[in-house]
Amino acid sequence: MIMYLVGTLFGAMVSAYILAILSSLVLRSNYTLSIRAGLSFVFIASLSQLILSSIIVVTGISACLYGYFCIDSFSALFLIVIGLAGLSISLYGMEYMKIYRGLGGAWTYSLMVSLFLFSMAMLCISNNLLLFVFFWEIMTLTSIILIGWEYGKEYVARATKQYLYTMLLLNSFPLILGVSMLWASYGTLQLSSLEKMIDTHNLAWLLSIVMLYIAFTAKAGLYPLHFWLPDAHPAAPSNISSLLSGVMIKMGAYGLFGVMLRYLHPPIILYYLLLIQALLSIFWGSIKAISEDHAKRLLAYSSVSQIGYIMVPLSLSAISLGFNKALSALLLAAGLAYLFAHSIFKTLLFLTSGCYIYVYGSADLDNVANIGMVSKTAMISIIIGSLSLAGLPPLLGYIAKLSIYASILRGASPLYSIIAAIVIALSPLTLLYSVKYMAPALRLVEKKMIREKIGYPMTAGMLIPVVSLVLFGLYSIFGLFTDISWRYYSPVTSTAPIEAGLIHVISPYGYYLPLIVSASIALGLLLGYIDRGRDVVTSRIWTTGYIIPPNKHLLRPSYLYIEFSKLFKPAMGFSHEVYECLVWRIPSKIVYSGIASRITRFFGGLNGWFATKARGLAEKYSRIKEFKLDELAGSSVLAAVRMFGNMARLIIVSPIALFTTALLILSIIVLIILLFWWV
Amino acid sequence: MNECLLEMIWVIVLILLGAFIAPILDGLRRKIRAKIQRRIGPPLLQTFYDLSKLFNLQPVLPFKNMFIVVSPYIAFATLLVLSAAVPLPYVPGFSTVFDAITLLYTLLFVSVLVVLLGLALPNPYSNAGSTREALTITVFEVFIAFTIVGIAYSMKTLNLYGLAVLYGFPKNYLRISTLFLSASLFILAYIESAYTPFDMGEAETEVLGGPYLEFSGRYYGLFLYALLLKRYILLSLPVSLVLVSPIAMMLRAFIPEPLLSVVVLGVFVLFLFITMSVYSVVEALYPRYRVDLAFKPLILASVIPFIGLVMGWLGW
Amino acid sequence: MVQPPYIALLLLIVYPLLVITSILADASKKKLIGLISTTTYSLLSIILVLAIVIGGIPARIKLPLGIGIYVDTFSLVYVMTSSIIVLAAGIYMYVRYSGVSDERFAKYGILSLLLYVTSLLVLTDNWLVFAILWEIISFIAYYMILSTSRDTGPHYTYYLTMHTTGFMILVGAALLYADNACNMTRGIGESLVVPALLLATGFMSKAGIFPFHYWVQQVYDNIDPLYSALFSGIVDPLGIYGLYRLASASSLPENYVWLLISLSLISMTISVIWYWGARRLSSMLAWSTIYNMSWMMLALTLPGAGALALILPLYIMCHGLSKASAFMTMGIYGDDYCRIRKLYPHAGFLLAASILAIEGAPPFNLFIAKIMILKNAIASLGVVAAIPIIGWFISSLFFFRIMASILFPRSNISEESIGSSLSFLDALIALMLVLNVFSYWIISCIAGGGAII
Repeated sequence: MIMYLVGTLFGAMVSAYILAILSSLVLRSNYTLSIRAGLSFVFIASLSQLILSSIIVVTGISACLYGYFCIDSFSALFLIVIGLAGLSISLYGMEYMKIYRGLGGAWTYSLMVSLFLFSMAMLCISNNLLLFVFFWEIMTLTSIILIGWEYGKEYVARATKQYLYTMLLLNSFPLILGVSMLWASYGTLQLSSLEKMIDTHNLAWLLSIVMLYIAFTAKAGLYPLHFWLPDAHPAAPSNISSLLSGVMIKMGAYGLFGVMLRYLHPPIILYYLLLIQALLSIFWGSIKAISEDHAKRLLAYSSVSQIGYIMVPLSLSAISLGFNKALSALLLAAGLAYLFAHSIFKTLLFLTSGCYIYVYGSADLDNVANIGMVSKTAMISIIIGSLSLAGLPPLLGYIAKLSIYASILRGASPLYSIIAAIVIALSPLTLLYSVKYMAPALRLVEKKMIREKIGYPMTAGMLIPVVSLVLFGLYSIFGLFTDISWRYYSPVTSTAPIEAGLIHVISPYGYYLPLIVSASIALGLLLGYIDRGRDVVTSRIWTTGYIIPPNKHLLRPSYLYIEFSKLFKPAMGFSHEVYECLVWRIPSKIVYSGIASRITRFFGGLNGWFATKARGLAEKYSRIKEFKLDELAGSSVLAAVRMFGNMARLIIVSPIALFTTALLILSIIVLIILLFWWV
Repeated sequence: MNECLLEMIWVIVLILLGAFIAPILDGLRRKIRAKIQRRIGPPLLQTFYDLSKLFNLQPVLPFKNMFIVVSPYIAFATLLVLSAAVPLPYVPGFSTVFDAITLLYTLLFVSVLVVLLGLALPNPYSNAGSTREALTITVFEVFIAFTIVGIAYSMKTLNLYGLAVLYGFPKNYLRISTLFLSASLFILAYIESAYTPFDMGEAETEVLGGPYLEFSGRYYGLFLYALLLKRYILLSLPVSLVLVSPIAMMLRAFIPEPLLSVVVLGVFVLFLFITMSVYSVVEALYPRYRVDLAFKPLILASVIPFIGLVMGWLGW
Repeated sequence: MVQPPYIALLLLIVYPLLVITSILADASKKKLIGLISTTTYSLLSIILVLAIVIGGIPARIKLPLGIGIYVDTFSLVYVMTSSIIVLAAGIYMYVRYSGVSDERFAKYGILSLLLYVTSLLVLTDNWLVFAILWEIISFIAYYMILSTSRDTGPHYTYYLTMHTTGFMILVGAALLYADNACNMTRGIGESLVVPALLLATGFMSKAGIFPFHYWVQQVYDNIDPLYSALFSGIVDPLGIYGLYRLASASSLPENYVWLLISLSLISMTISVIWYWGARRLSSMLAWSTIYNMSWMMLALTLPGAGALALILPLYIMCHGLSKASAFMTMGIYGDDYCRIRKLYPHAGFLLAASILAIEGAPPFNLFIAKIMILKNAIASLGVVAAIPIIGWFISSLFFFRIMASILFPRSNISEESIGSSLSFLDALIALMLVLNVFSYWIISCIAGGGAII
């Protein structure tokens, strides 16, 4: 019964994506209508995807289609992530894409968004590595086109090209190489078969694992392969940035844990490397985010940092798999919880930065004013999103962070406590830049010119993540994550022997924690509402007497933490230079230099020499000079050659003659054939 | 059901206790400070009088904005509820539910709320105060991280009630690691409470009170009360874990259950006063740190919990 | 089951009639009739293929008059691909070359004749007939170059090359005939190495494999893009087809196999190097054709290669369709790929998609074919497989660079967009690209089994 429901929902999802493309195509003459039609179907598709995956996560069943597409609760979690993000951005995009009206291309946009979401959903449920890589490449290609939407701007074109070449070098090439090597060694790419066949002493296997690792960490944006992220994510339209940061980089996590760890038996030392990379990402991403003044760049660096937070418990889970399965499952659950939380609040935050662009025309934190005057939802979204990012109670971000700390602290060896200490010590850096992000939204004075007011679609698009963050914070759904992780590690038994609910680990009645904190905040809100400041008298800002401009904030967000940034400037500048050289200047020199053309010109010259000789030969034989009469002996040969040459020239001059000749020869041959077969 | 009711009673008792004790502790602090400065000083209940005065004053705010009006209430309500999470052995309140990280992070939430308020106002002094506060939080987090991790490693739990009980066992508190971690807890309580060497965020002479500058009347009163509650909660951590727990464990042999909780409460209040006196003496003797000079001692202080952690690894 | 008499009827009577109608229409300059006859012919051809597939591919078909037909997945797919390309080309010709000045490009007769002779060539099972038909194809191709070329250089090069090597094929077929080994299905036998080599040389030259690669760029650069599409989609892969037939009919000694492998690897490398010096899009596509032919040859010659029946048809179909799309887009909108998105936005996307399809990026199914070949290469060649891998990487780099120039042109180009309405031809090209995406499914249906991944 449930299977039929799941199947129907899957069919509904696929057809909705197809309808999105078709409806947008049909209406392509009207920009707004076309985008709205396409995005509405994307909304429906995301909704069915969400329902489908929720059913699978809650009931714990797994299903397979033709052996090529298998869904279980681990993949379903990623489908939930994609579905939630798809819901928000489709609603949001219906109004937001107005600002790109001048660029046109409504149908292309719907096509690309549908294909993007569809390919990500499909790659999460692929049971075959070839299909996985197939959909991965479609995801990359569509994201390239979406990132370069405003290619007229210099920085967007540059970012897109950087992204394109980076993905070619660090994603396509390693993936294709890895997959072919696996296929060549084991003869099959079905993940379920590979799991049983892989033996650990094969060189091809080791090489493919390394290749796949490079591809997945590059896509996830882990240090040091993160350099494309801060340029590419801000360059895209804001609802696409949400998808990129909120969903696409999670596909790297899916590759590392849903494909590699589950089926390909990688060497565990790789996960130690992942751990180190994750810790470096946390640090580096936070430091750079603190010094950024552009909202979207800040959020992009924040993504680099947060993916580190996601990868730390996940890698520890892989590391502890050998000796403590319960701890491993707990760590996996914590990592998945943070992955889930991050995708929701990062989506929300990018949508709010889109609000800045929509309303004020710029996402520079210094140039935007209090957006609460235009839209209360936007302000609430910024506050709740940033507080989730900072990991403050009682929102989902806090629950997820707490679960990470608690699960790491369960580890018995000193390694775990040091890592926990590092992670806890680095968390206020996140707080710093989330405060910086919130700063302009809270400013009580200062008006800037408003270009557009925010309407219902954008509001609705932002409300979905806000409600999710608050609700999932209140009702701790952590039990779901522990169920998923236990099913991941022992697919046979689907009931978790570990306590369902990580908060249990810390305290037996842990379910009440978020409720208590929320209740206290609600009490405060209630009291504040009762108070309402009825008898408040307003007066000037007090600054010991000297006059400050009345409607202006003197502190720009970019001035925050200036000393802090100064501390890290040398290191950041150095690494920036290194990247510029490696990634941009040297490849440009090679690609656009004369080396390649010189080689080809040499071969071209050789080629030309040979061709000239052949041509000369041909010309010689069609224009034969007169011979003297005393060379009668060769006259017959001469006549034949001349006839040949004349015929050739005739053929060149008159196509009809050629044609006639061809027909004649054809008929002769047909006659011969018929003759032969009769005889 | 009975147990639930009992817990609810204890929650209310602890909230009332917190609400009452916090201003008295502040009064004690002011009295001792005055004595050191060879003054008579205000009476012990002076803070109550100050608060009631503030609540009766007409508030003057720069804007009549809901955010400004509501935030003091949120801060106060959260901390009031949080004061029921004070870890006391054999006194179950919210401490059975809360863990150390959540406690500290909820306190952080209130601090962040104040920081955001400071940034929201166009007053440059408030802004400066908020920035300093944010940076101080960041720098001190290393210390907090090592403390929490050290405690988690040694005691194998972070549940406040569990910690309160476990600390009482001799095998736990007679260890070198516990010694260092207990010292860290005292330092944590001191620094987080923003006593004078470390109150850069709301410094009076430098930033005119920081984020609190523009508040007046009952709003400032609420913030003041919230700050006092925060100091009380933070102080309760080392006092109850390090001082009350072992005594409670010893008393458990002689005194039956219901009475034990009351006795523990009494011992707790006694030690609160004693510790507060010590803190007040320290506070009165030290001037405030300049903000950029404070970072080094804050980070260097992390050595203490780190040693505690390492001792824990070694099993000592 | 399609009965042999009906096939004979179609092949020997109906199709030639349609071909002659096209030729006459050309001669009398009646374009509509030419279009109708060409379209009908190609549709009938596709229907025949589908009918044979649905009815079940027989092991052997014997037509009346003792003529045998060689029917397997590859030949059927070849006929189908050629028919699709000719169908598209006919419509393209009608829409685009209806003016008086374009008369020399509107040659419906050539289209139909090309399709007819190709079908016969692909379906025959006798080496001598094959050789003779090969000569005819060379003539037709030569005629195509003659009528549409700007320059006289390609004529001679092509003519000489094809006739020299065609002569080798005739000699080889004659030798086989002398040894009574003409029947393809019966096999050539080990002792007949010389004819096999002669035939192989001839086939390689048609495909453009080193050392017979020199004519390709000249020809493609000078002729009309539509005819380039016909060349790369129908004419050139005949070389690969011939090699395939040779491979299934004979078994060469190992040294010669390694020689062929080396030749294909060398052509791959050479074509990749030459990409970087090519200035025009048509030259780049010419080298790309050589590159793809060498991939197919590698697939054929690898020892122990499996599933050839699926890889090669897939490759031919994807390659033919994508090259046709690219050349047709180029023919309509010009080959200034740096500005095309600004001038004609939808054409920019079509061209970019065709370029991706040629290079083998998902979702176009050339990707699947290439990975299968790569897998076989790694399994049998080991480290030497680094050559096709690195070659693929460099060619992807190159094609992605072109795609980036198409899709993200430099911002100092300030021309206004000329038109953004889809025309019928654009829809046709888009349909071919969509067909490309589903080609794996189509071919696995034809092959009658499940997919082999």
